[in-house]
Amino acid sequence: MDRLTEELALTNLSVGYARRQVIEDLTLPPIAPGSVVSLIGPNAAGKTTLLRAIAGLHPAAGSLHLGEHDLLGMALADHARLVTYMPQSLPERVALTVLEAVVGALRASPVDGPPLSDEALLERALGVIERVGITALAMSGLDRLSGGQRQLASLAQALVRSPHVLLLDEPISALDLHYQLRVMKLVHALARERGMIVLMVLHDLSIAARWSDRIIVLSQGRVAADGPPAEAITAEVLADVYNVVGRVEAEQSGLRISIEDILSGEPVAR
Amino acid sequence: MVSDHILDIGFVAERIVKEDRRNVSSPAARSTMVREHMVTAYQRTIRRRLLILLVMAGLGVAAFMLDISTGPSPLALRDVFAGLFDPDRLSRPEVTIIRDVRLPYALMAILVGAALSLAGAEMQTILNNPLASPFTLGVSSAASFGAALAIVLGFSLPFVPNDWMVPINAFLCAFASVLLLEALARSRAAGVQGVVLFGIALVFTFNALVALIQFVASQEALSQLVFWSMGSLGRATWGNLAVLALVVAIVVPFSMRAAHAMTALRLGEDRARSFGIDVRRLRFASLLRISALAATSVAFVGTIGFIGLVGPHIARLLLGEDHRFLLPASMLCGALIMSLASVASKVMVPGILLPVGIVTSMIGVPVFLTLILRRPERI
Repeated sequence: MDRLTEELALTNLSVGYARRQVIEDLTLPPIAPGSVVSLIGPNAAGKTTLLRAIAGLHPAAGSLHLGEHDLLGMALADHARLVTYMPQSLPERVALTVLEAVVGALRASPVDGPPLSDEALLERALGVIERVGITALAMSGLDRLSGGQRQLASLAQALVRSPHVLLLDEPISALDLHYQLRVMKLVHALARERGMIVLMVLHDLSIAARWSDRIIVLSQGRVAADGPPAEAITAEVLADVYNVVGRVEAEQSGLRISIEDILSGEPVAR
Repeated sequence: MVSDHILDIGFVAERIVKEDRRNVSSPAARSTMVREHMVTAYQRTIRRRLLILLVMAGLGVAAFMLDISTGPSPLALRDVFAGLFDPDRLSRPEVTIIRDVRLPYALMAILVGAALSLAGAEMQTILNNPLASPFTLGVSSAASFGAALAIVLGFSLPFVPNDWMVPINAFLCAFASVLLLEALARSRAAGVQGVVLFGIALVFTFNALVALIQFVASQEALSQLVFWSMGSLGRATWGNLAVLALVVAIVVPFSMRAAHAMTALRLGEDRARSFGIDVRRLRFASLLRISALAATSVAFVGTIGFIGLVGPHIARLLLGEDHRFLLPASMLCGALIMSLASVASKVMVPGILLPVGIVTSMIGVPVFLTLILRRPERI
């Protein structure tokens, strides 16, 4: 497969609900192909809303382009060839096996590339399940899995469509240390191999700093900081955005971030 | 939160390696073995499901034959076969009983069971609600209201034959009620609970309206109406059967084409949309199908309860939620249960033919309660 070369460009993007604008006039420097970008920020900063808007699940105004493609003016099925979104949760009581769920993600609508035969479909689904590291669970029912296992199944579903842009909403929130690292390494490797753009919401700043090429700090629908980890996560940003006292030191494998206290008072509510 | 799943997964892999007699030691060989095991397991599951479908179909045919053979004058199964395929062997009255009385009745049971159960399966998926069915959420009540209006007020549209007026009117009312249900299910405020409560409200409202119509109806129309409230196969005619068969034959291919989309929808609406499924269109089309199935059934046999609830649940327990299998299995289950209910309605009180709706409710209510009690957190 040819390496992907499209940039993701957001210009003057506004997203909101009937009575409340969540994101107003957001413009970002283009996101380069093959890069891993983390979206961090306090609760209700608009991270999930921004992700859903890019995924085409929430109406947005402004401009959103992937290379030549205008993502805002695109039919859902075409959009789904380019962008895949992994929501925070997977329903608990579904009588499908992991493999069925992953194959189902492929069958739902055509994916990018030539049509797949039934065997190719199964092959591809098992390949992804293996890379995520849950082959032994392939024939287990989703309703029998733990929260973490379901999250891995959910990730496999998103990955199997091999999108150009992969949007992950807190992909490691329920995972243990082994799988947190495994998932980060996997998406990082996929971004590098194929030129896929990975944009994910993370809460763990150390992990975000270690595995991202770029970090966007969102606060109250605005960009509070944007850049390589060491530039985006600073003591000032921690104080401004999270209302905490923190220390940030550069290390060989990322940043050492220690949070020492909270600043008095509640964070500024919207 | 989840500390043991490496062990968990390792445990499954360990068992697979142990069960396999081949001697493997390298991690790569183990991983290949686990993968091969999963492919085999997957293919085995598919084969098992096809087998279950086949067994269900066989049981359905058996129940159908049994249904024809039971009645005021019992017939041997051998004679039923003869009556259907080799009529010269039997006396004329026997052939008439089999072909003109019992056969349409038994076919109606099969078709209505399949139609209501398919409607229930689709409804449970698109409303994301295990208690959804045409009967429990008021769609059947709305349809019988529409039918009652057509009978009593004698509505007629230009160019529409009178035979079709009752089902068409039933369809319009049923469709209006599912649109309301869908609007409510979509607004997140309502939740699963709200939809069920609203459905119950619809049941009461339409039942009250039907009662009102009964109150003002003429003696003749009243006797026709009472039959609706009971649910009976007694009025099956070849004309009715043809209409219902046509509706089922038109709806089923569309349902099957939407099977993948419905499977994906089970994993959440956002996810399904992100996989390129136009959920709104899927819902709308499915509601049209549900209305058509429920309304035609109700128009010809009255309100028959719980088939649309019980059929899909049994199918789901047996086959899981891959809708390629779930939808046909629901139809077969519904047809089988309805056929058996029809047999029961003839033999429960010797010499008296009970309305079949009474029998299905007697089977359905315990199942309904079990569903509620087993998973209280979902209701």
